[in-house]
Amino acid sequence: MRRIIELVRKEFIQTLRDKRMIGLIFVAPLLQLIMLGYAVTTDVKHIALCVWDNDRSRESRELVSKAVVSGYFDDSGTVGSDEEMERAFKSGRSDLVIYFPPEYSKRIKRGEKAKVELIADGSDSNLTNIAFGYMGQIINLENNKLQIENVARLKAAKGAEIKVPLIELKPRVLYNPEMKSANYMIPGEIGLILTLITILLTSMSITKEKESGTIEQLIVSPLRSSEVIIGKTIPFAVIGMLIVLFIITGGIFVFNITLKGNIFTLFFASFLFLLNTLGIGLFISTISKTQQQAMLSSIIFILPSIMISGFAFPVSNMPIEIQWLSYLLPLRYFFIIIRGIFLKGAGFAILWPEMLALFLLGTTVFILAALRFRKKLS
Amino acid sequence: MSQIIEINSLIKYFGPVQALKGVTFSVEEGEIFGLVGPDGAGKTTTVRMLAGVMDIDSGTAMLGGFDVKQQSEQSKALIGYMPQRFSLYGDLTVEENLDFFADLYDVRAQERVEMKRELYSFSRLEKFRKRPAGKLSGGMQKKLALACALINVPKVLILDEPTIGVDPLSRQELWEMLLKLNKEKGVTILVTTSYMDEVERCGRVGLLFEGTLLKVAKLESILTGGKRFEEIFISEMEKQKNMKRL
Repeated sequence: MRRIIELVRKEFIQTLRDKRMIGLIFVAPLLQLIMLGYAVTTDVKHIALCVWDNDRSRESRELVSKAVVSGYFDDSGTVGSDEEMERAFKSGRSDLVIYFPPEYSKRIKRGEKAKVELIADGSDSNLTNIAFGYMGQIINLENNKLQIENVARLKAAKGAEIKVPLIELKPRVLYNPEMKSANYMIPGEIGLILTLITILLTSMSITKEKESGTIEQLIVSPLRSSEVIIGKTIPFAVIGMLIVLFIITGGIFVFNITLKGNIFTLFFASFLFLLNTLGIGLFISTISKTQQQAMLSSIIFILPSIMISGFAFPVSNMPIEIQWLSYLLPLRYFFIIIRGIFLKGAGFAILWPEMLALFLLGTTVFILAALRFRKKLS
Repeated sequence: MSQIIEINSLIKYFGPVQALKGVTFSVEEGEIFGLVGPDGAGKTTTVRMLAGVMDIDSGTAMLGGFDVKQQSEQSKALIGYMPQRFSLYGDLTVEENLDFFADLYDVRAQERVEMKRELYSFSRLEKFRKRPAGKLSGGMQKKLALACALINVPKVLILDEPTIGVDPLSRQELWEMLLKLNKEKGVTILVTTSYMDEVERCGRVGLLFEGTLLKVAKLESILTGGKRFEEIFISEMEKQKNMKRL
């Protein structure tokens, strides 16, 4: 026990004395918090809209100004020909072009069907979909308005009661009502940073002993393998928990995210998750000889696991084989848990299957790594 | 005199390469035994297996009557081991390194104070207490490594090329420390070296060449006919090569 404490103490002194480590531990979470909170946003606003107006009427101008007033579109000038439109797309001046054919307003006034054409850049498929959606909504509202005006005119002319059936959509968002992407991203960041830092630190700290030869002294000493493993993982578990606390505080006070669930449930889940990442770090250290190898192996594991575990892209959209693969990734469960606790206020009653999965995966990885971790030189 | 180290037909493979081809020798309590040979002869492999740092493929190694393989805890308790490469924590200070190893070996309060005072005066590292070990000169690093290897008061000291990369003066000092330990405390010393002048400080030497122990003998019995040790060593190696050719 005493020996473990001393190993932990030594590890802390070494880690805190290494300036690069300090950078990794303190600056990385801060940078990510700022980037994910402010910069990385899936909220789409300021879509560059160019107008190709061959009608030049009050009606066409009105539709454009409604789009701009909504805040989703920015007026990005006009185009007058196919070539000009292409240039606007290629130079990035335009994301979307709205084309009004001649007679647009006349057809409306005559009570006929008027056509508007939307031409999109399309290289960013997500942005294009959202732009079409917003513009569709704006045109729908305009349609409704025209219908109602029409009915009112008819009523005045004929004095008869005319009913117009309309379906009105009233969307209500439960758990992230402002649809802020920070609300979704920052809890996810806990998983991201914990993965990155604990896997890297654990694998590198053990391979550092291999590289510098100090592992030989540890092997000769009466330390048991289990004591080395525990002594080497506790410091990073503690650092991991501090990072969790840091991100929660930053999220709440800087980005006004409300933690709906229980903070202790969150810490408990983080602990279960750490069991996984520390085990993975330990495992990587058993297959790496140098710190560089450990770092590369860590990155090779971390990057795809962030991609397919639902940090930014929904798992349910992925091919079924990838979805199966994602069941093996602790991050997949952890993202569900932290977002559940943060945004929905969920607790053990709801999240226990994910927590159980984390526990089982974590103990398996940890035991596998511990079995591979032998106190011998090869 | 009892045999404190007994090594019997030690074999080690690295992949397809047989690094040790059945090495057998023993060391008596209180003697200084030198394992001599060119680079790649298998000196480091032999002492690593004896120290329990590396697996033994076949054969046995006994330390003070304990089997290194089966009773590693007891056998490890007897030894102080100083690896070839500087292997202390360069980012910890001299004192922190000493304290860390004292903790690993459960050296407690009062005992530790005395032990540290003794080791400081012995190694003359007292005034560098607060300096990071990585910033010490090569010679001082070796002295610190030796001090750390002595923290558990070992009966056997295993040193792997202790003076490699050390200036002549520090080499001299280090050997004086070793001789003093041997004479005053009766510590048995097993040392590997490729410096021929250091061989002459050993009581007995074993000549290791390409994984085979060519000869084990008292230094005096080898140094006959006014020949220098180097000449004898080279002629032994030539003999071995000729035998292979036949």
